[in-house]
Amino acid sequence: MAAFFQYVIGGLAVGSIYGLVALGFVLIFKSTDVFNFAQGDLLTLGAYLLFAGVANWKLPMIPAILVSLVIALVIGVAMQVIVFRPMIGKPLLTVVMVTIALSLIIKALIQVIFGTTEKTLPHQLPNDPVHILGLKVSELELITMGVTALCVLAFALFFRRSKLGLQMRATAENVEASMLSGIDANRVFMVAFGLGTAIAALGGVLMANLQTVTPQLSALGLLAFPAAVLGGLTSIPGAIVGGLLIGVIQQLATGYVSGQSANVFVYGVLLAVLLIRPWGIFGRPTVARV
Amino acid sequence: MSRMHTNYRQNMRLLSSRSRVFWLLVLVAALWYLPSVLNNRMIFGYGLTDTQLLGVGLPQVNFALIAVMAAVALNLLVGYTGLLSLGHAAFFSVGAITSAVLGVQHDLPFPLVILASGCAGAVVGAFFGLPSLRLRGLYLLLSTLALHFIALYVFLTYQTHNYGPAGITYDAPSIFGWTVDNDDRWYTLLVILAGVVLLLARNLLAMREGRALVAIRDHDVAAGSLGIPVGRQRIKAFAMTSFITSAVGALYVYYLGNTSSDAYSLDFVINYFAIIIIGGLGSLSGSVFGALLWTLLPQALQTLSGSVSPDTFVVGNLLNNYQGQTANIVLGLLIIAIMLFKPTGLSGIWLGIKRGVVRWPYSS
Repeated sequence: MAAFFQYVIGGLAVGSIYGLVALGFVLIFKSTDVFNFAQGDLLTLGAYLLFAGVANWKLPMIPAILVSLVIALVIGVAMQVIVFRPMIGKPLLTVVMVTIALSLIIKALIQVIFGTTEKTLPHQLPNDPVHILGLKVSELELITMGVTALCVLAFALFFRRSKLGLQMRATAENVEASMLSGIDANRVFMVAFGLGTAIAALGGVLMANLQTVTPQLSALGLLAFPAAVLGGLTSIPGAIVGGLLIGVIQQLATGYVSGQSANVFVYGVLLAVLLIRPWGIFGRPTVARV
Repeated sequence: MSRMHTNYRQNMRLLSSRSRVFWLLVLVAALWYLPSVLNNRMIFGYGLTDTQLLGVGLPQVNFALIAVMAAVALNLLVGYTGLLSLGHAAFFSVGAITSAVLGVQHDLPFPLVILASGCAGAVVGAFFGLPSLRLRGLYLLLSTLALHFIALYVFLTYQTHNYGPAGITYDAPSIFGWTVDNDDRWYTLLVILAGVVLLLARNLLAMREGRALVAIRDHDVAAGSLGIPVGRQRIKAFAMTSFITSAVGALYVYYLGNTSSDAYSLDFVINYFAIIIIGGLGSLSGSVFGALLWTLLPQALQTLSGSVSPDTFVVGNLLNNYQGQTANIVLGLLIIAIMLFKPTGLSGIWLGIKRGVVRWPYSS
């Protein structure tokens, strides 16, 4: 039984990272309707930015994290302005194709700049084991979960209380109506892309502390899609819950069956949820009209 | 320009005008001459360097032909029926497994193995299609992603039980005594098969069945109210696509000679999506253009970036050391440019050029 809880805790830790990446994905999808296939690469980007900060620019950990997040934010805004602003109103698959192209470019640029070998951070966030209720938890796992919880709280406040957050919700609800009431939709889209990229990069920053930094990290970032869909594709708490669920299932499957079968279980649960509740756990059903 | 069609019989006619017959003959002649150009590195007696041919040889052309067939199949599903599916790698792997079981383990004749792979694919495809009865758009996409990982796991388990990590090895196939063991023979076989696949797809789309698929794509509820059995047609579309894809998957592994489960990653699927979107959704010529571009351009770009002298200011060294990455960056930028300026893809560009030439000087 102890092993079970151990897997669950480990799952919650990686799951909160998936949740963060999924949160970034949902932020972008909800306000701009862009189904971002490059979301996994934004996670890789965050991990490599942190590596550059710590190893190349010799920054201490906390400033390095802040610098990577700011750079990611700028990259996200730049992506929106240069690539996605001209794509507004184009069909879904056209935009999807552009995100695939961006994913190719980001992957290739990372390999050109940092090389294709694995990297390890020269120093990490604290990672000593802590004993809580007879379970061994690493400080890093606690930090990961704590950061995610903080992010969720910050976003909840941002969307309820701040002017910009309210504007983003209004735009997500109805772009034309929000523009009529004086909201600058382009600015909202920019903020959504900036925040979505920064959050995915935050997931990457945490991931870089948990394991080595390689170009293959983007495959883990792909788990943001099932996480987002489980949550209902447009729900922010849903993305986090979906991420946690997927992390836990993945760890349990790895622990009890095998590492190779983990994906089968993760996506099997996704398939089951889709067939029973096609609109996700937190989403709302829609009705088709002729 | 072709005249306005007034009934379906005209729509179904293959060689509707003299110019079509002419261009078809030109195409056949060009395809006939191509292997000799690529093998001898010369055209009409003029020698060509490797860089002038962009590093393209017959193997690349063969891979392109395989991609053409698989892209046509995917376009039937995504472009014409409007069903988003990430199951393409899974269908390929069904072909690989079936030919491993029947061709390698039981030594059945090659044509039978290809047919059986197609049939196995159709069954799996119909199963993949079941969620489409209930799910739409992106949700369907994610459900096929689930099936993708399940199929891959089956492949991996089968491979580790029977062959080990080195993968499955396939012998050169023979068709009624004609052994397909070099690139020239493969080229002949693949050109013929690609022609057959294109012809079948074209005929399907000119008929009632094909129009039903397009109607479902454009509005499923409306199509249903017109009496089209939407659910059944969707499953059929999945089955047809996966029949072709699995048969192509079997050809693909026989051509490669060796395969392993990690070849069928999600990137593999995304490549095919890229092919049909760049080529043009809902266009057969688009699938052909897209497949050719996607398979030949990286090779061409790598050759070009390798041929730049390393002394060139700043970029020289970079282009030489990171040929694959440079190719990806250029490809990515190219896709963004196409999507930005011509979202209908290569087939849209081609149509624009054709109209411009035909209507000159009245074209805008």
